[in-house]
Amino acid sequence: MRFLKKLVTALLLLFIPIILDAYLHEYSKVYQERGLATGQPGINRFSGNPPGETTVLGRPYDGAPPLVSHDINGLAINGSENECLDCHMEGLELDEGNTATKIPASHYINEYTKEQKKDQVLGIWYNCFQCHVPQSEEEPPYSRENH
Amino acid sequence: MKKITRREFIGKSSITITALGATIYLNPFEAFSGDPDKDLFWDKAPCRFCGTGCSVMVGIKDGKIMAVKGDSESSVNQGTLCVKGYSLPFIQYGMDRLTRPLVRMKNGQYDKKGELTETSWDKAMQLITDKAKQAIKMKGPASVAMFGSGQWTIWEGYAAAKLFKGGIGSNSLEVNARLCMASAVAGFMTTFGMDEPMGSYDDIAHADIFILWGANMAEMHPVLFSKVTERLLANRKSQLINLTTISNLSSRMAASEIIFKPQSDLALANGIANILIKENMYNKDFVKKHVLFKSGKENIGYGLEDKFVFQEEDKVVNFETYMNYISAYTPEYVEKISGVSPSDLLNLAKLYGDSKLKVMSFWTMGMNQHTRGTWINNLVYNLHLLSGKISEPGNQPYSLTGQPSACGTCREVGTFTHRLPADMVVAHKEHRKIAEKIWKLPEGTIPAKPTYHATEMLRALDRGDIAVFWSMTANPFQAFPNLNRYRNGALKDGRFIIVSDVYPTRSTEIADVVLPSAMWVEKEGAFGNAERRTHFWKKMVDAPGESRSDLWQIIEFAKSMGHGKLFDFSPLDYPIPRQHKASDASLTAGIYMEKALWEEYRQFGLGQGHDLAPFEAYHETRGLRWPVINGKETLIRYREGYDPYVEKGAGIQFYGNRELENRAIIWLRPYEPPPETPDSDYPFWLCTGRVLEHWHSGTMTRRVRSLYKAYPHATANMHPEDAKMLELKDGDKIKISSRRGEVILHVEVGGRVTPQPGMVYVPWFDEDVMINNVTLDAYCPISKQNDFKKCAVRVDKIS
Ligand code: SF4
Repeated sequence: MRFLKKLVTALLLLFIPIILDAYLHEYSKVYQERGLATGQPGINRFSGNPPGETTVLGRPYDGAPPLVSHDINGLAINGSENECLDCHMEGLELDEGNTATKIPASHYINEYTKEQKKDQVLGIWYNCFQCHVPQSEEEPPYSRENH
Repeated sequence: MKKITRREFIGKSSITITALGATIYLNPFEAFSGDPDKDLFWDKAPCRFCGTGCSVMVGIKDGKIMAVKGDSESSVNQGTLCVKGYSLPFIQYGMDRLTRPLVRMKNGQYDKKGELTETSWDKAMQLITDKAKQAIKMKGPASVAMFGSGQWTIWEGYAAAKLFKGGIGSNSLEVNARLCMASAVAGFMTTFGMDEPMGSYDDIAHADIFILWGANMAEMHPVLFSKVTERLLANRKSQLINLTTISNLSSRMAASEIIFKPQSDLALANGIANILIKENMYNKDFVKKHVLFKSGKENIGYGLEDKFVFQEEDKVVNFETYMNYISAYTPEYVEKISGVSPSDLLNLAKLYGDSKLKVMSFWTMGMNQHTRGTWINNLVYNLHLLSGKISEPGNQPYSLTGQPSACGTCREVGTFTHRLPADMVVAHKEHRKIAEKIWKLPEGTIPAKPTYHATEMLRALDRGDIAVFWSMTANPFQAFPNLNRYRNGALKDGRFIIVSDVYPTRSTEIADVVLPSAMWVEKEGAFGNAERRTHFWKKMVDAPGESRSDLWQIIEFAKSMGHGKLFDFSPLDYPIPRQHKASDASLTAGIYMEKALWEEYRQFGLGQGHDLAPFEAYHETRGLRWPVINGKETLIRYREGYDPYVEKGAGIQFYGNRELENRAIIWLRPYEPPPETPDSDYPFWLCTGRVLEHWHSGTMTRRVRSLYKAYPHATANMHPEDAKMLELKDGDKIKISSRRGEVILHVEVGGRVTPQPGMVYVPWFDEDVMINNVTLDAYCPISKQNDFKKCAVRVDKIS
């Protein structure tokens, strides 16, 4: 019994500093504020390269809409024309080895209403800018490992 | 290598397309670069961002969110999403995620001037409790305030309301939805006696005419805009009219873009109504049977002074009085105020008046963030009531909501100072009694007097009437207008600020305590979107470090304050879920907390037109639109055959106004000028808002690399004529200043939006462009919602 008490005390004495140290170490750190503020307003710089002169950027993850590698300023999307479709509908080869990403089958189907069109991108997929965004030359101050 | 210009290349491509025709591939996953289903576990959730309330499928692997897909089983988004929705897999994983409670300390002690230092939950909660108890003792319960959010889950808002109103005895509970939806609510309540839209998104597929009232839907509700686009492309009769103060992306699909001067929407709506009546284009039968006319108080002020009060003086009037009243709004007078030509006005009236055309009007912040927000909501309802184009497929006035659960949490639960669940109010004794009964509290527990609406809450904090201010899932110290005053107020001695959030923000930087929150699918949740749809999700992944859900935080605070009983439920009635991950709140309590709160909460609405289904129903479906009766959702309210609350043979009943023979109100509301208009010192209008890629203050979306790079910084959009006049080129550095503050940023000319001459547009998502230092904290006296769309500024070039 006595031995047991001693053992417990010894163990406690041994562990308390470790626990305490861990505790203090864990909970006394001053937090390094690392917000997104840089103290400077920025300009949004885009490369401005026209379609056909850029390298495909791909997708942030499997299944995400591909990013836009080229300038989209002035591209018409309206009730009578959609200039994005001019190239992307067919996946046009613009230059040797440089092909516009072809619009997938998913854009001709509304899986909820089961509506399907052979040669027309459906309205819910029609506003390309809703999902496909160009990328500027700016880098975020944090989250570099994110896409 | 030969370069092709875009023009050449498009010319070429058109030919190719014609020659080849289109081929269709039936593999739906052709869109993916790999096999996304491989090894992923998929479950459904509503999107974390806007009020559209899209449903997403979330793909999980090894406890991490790997992917999302648009949910093709949801009628909301039908398989599609916008770029923010597609970015959901990244929002949790920013490098600077908050994972530990932080307290401002000096020499190991709390000190307002100290540095944020990591601490334990126990210590942080103890400090908060001490401060709250001290405040209650010194200044009364109302000096302890919580500021929540339309991004709270329904049970988080419900728990906060129960704790504050039923436990602490403080009505000092508000939400950021006050800044976004209050005028919509006040509009519904004054016109229909009941909150939230009568229709649903299903109406879009039946409408012919879409009229946007100051709503840039293409950027702010992109998926809904694409549903409108689908209708426009499929139906030859269909037209979109974009009524706006800024030329924007929504105009791309529009038959016409009509630019009006800020604030003049009031005159426009009255002008259209005037033509409808003068030209005999209104629905006499409908008006006779279902409408009542009322006038209210005029010249109602702007809430610029502290402790401002407003008392409506309404009076029933007859049709002739109304007719005479709006006859002042002749096309010529309307043109003078708005800049809109008589022919455009007549055209609009014809669209509303033509009985063969089905019309939907859409609006959000343009009409809600307005010092006459309640009035303009009333006035657009007037048009649908005069024409009888309401509560039937394709004919609906449609108030869109900004946040994912502004409706589900704030409006339905009633997380405002004056409110209780199911459209009830604290000022009403019977309503308090109902709440006290459901909450098993002695009569007289809930305080009868509202304390502070959001703006007044921040003013009370500045004055010192509020001592403890707790913000959850919100960023008030970036979001509030006239921000300098309120940031400085919060930093004064004796003000104790707690901020629960997931990342460091402009609000955490001035907080005394920062609490790390669990977000989205790190907890079990429920949102309610802009078509009365309640949608649940399960916890799918663990939150990092020691972050905890807001629900857990509220309940722990309740326990610590001695109000733990409010959250005591029987584990026999509500055993912890075994089929899926239980939330932190459930695990700590040893019961299925979300279910227990839900089943209690839904008692408020049963039989009151707010019927919600039993808990399980929402995990099994892609959400249900209330009232849910016998398991069936309601797509259209107030019309027989669609809404079981309408009595047989009645046809239409606006039963929110039961005591007014189920009639909706047409209000006599005038045009009144805004509190501040440009003058020689401050010659420009300033309008603020969002952009497609970023959510609110950008704390989540700016941490997603692809979104950051898509729209890195807030810039000031200007009309080319104005830029020329000020000798500004695209990219030049400018200072925008008002009577309240200033901000430095770069100018953008020819960007995706072009304001009308004499106006600058600045989005508010950027921590480096604190535009709300410039904005004005005036509000609609009825709804108490601020106007972020109009104030007077000057623009100076900085070399
Ligand atoms: S439209 Fe709104 S709800 Fe839908 S994916 Fe985009 S942000 Fe999310």
